Amino acid sequence: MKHLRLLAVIAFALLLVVPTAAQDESSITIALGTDAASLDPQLQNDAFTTSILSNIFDTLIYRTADLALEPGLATDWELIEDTTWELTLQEGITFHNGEALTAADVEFSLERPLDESLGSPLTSRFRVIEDVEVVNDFTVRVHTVNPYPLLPARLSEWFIIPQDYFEANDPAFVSENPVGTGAYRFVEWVRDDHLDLVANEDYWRGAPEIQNVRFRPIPETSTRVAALQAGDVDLITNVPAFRQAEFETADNLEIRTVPSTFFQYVGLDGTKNEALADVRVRQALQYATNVPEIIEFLFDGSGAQIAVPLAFGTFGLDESIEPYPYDPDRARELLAEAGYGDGLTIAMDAPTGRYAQDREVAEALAGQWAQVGITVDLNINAWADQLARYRDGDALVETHFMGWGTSTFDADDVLFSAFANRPNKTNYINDELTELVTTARTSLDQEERAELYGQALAIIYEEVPWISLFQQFDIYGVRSDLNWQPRPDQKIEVRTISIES
Amino acid sequence: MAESLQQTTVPQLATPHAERRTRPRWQQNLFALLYDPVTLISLIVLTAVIVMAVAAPVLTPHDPELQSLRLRTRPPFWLMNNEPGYPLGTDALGRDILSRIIFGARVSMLVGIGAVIIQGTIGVLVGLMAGFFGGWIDTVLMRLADIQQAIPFLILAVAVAAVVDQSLLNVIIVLGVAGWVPYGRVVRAEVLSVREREFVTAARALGSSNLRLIFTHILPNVAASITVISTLTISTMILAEASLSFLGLGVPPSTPTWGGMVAAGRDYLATAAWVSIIPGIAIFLTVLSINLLGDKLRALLDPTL
Repeated sequence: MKHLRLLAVIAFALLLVVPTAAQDESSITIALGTDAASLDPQLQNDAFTTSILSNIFDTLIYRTADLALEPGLATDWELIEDTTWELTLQEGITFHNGEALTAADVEFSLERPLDESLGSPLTSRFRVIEDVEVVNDFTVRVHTVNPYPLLPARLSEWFIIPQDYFEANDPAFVSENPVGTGAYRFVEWVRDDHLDLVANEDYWRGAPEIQNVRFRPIPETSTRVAALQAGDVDLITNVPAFRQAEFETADNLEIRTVPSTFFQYVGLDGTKNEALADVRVRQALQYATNVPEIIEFLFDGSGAQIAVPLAFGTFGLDESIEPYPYDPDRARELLAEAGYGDGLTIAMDAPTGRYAQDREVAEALAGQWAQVGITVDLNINAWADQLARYRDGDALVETHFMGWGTSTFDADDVLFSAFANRPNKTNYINDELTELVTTARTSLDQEERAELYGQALAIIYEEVPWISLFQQFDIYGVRSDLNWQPRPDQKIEVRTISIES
Repeated sequence: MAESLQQTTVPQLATPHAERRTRPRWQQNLFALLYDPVTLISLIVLTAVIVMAVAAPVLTPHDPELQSLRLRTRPPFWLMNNEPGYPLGTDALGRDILSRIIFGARVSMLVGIGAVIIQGTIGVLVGLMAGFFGGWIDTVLMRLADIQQAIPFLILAVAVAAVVDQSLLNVIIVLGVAGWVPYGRVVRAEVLSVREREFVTAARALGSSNLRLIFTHILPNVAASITVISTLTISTMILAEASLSFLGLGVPPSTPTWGGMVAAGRDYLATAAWVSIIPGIAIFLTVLSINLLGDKLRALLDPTL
């Protein structure tokens, strides 16, 4: 009997010890809130997928963690005419399948999304490209439709893919078996379970320290935190602000925080609910939204209110614009003027698992709007569903809660894609705004551009096509011995991680 | 059945207290119920839940939907830092948990009772037909029951709830339609024995129609079993509704439900456990009370079941 008890104790102790002892020093597991949408870099545009793909693929121009542009696959880029950029490629770079990187791959990578039949969500952004000209194996010229000063910023987002591999294989196969030039090679992807990568020993920047990487989608916040605390994963995204205290007392875990380039908003579509076509209703919604309260009580103060749908630090943003104050009385007045004094019901699509406390923010908005007589019919969607609805556009209901990551750090990104371009996700049409944004996009005079964006933002502030919410802080939970600092654009570049011995 | 109950009362006839002997049997049963503390407590809990469900708007101290982010995750009154006026604390959006529990009782009771009525109606009709007519009708109906039972109840409910629109009525219908089999089987078995009894043969000899035989002669004799199963399945249905709401497939998310409240508190288990635990206790107490009462009822009505 005594022996049995002792055995039981030993067995239990072993259970506790073995998993940590068996952990491979150069392997890490990263838990994201969502799974990859597609592994074809041109068939996706969400941040977590981009984060995973940035380990497999490279870009011509690299954006550093402090958001400066430096050489990537291209060593040099130069504006040689108003609409022509010349890029010089690094020699001797090979894709994971052995194919050498040449100018033809760049031409293929930049022209492929222009084909409408591909169904790429990036097509509208690539439309600035008129033509890509191969000068020789390591020199390409990109001709843009109009002068487009933001091309280098765009090139820092667009992954370069191998032409022969993509042309020889079926698109469905390619989208599940990515081949790039990046620091990690693809191993295996089991949807909604895990995605494994292994170090590329021949990586042109030098072999990365971490050998094996596993990405796991864990949408449930508390499960993600528990997985980190249990040692199942080493790095997690979006730790809710109210759980930071636990990390302060844990000796092997840490919180790392960075102001995000992402901001949150609610898109309003007047074509799907006529009430939202009335500017008074849209302004009323903005007045009825108590953003400071959300930041203070849901995020424990980590976040900043935005006045217009642009992230802080974006070129063209006049940061002196004051956000709409929280004024429920004014909101009720405006609603009454618009003929909705007796109340109004609107539907909202909101994701869960993607942004920090996203579900709660959506519910809090519904609660705040209820106070001025607006009933919100809330659809909480799993991220894959929300993304599918967003891509389709028509499938979205009249309002949707989403986040936008400004990757070019220029007002053009949001203002063109979201408001000037047609069709856009909220079917917003304003000719004056379109004129201003289109002119600004093709001008090479930065002062003139700033002036034009100022005017465009004044219209947006008045018209409220979107409810502007806040810019969040990205809060990561990590094992203390990981040398890694988060980037503001939510990309996790595993090659920059090392483990303290 | 009647004979066996009379036999059990024989020893009581020998007791010296005259009143006891003369009391009708239902009164004796009632006293037996009330003298049993477990049953008494169960009855009190259940009565409280029913009162909450019926009088929810009068009883609630706050609007169950009203948010106040300032007051989010305040603990219940027995813990530090509680907020006066919110005896059971507040949830992640600062809504009063007590008010939401009271309104949640409404959904639980409506679903429990509504689903049981639908199940009972379908199941009893099927059981009566199968048992009374026998032959191919019996074979077809019982194979249908087999098919239905091959699919686990909750999985079927989840699958259907995921497809249809979210509404209270749909949840009741889904649970009601998916759970008729136990009624059908029990009723059929009872009918098989009842239909061979002399009084049925006598009624048939007197020219009673099949309908009359089924509903005036057989049905009253299987009513006791139906009552017992109904009581026991109400608790199963309440649990099923809570499970569906927990998975986000039940009634629309804005309606307060106990299952939904447990789900909403998941992220706060480490920091504000009461957000999940209090509705969990409500589910637990209600289901336990109904089960204990159901057991008691079964013992009283039919010791052989």
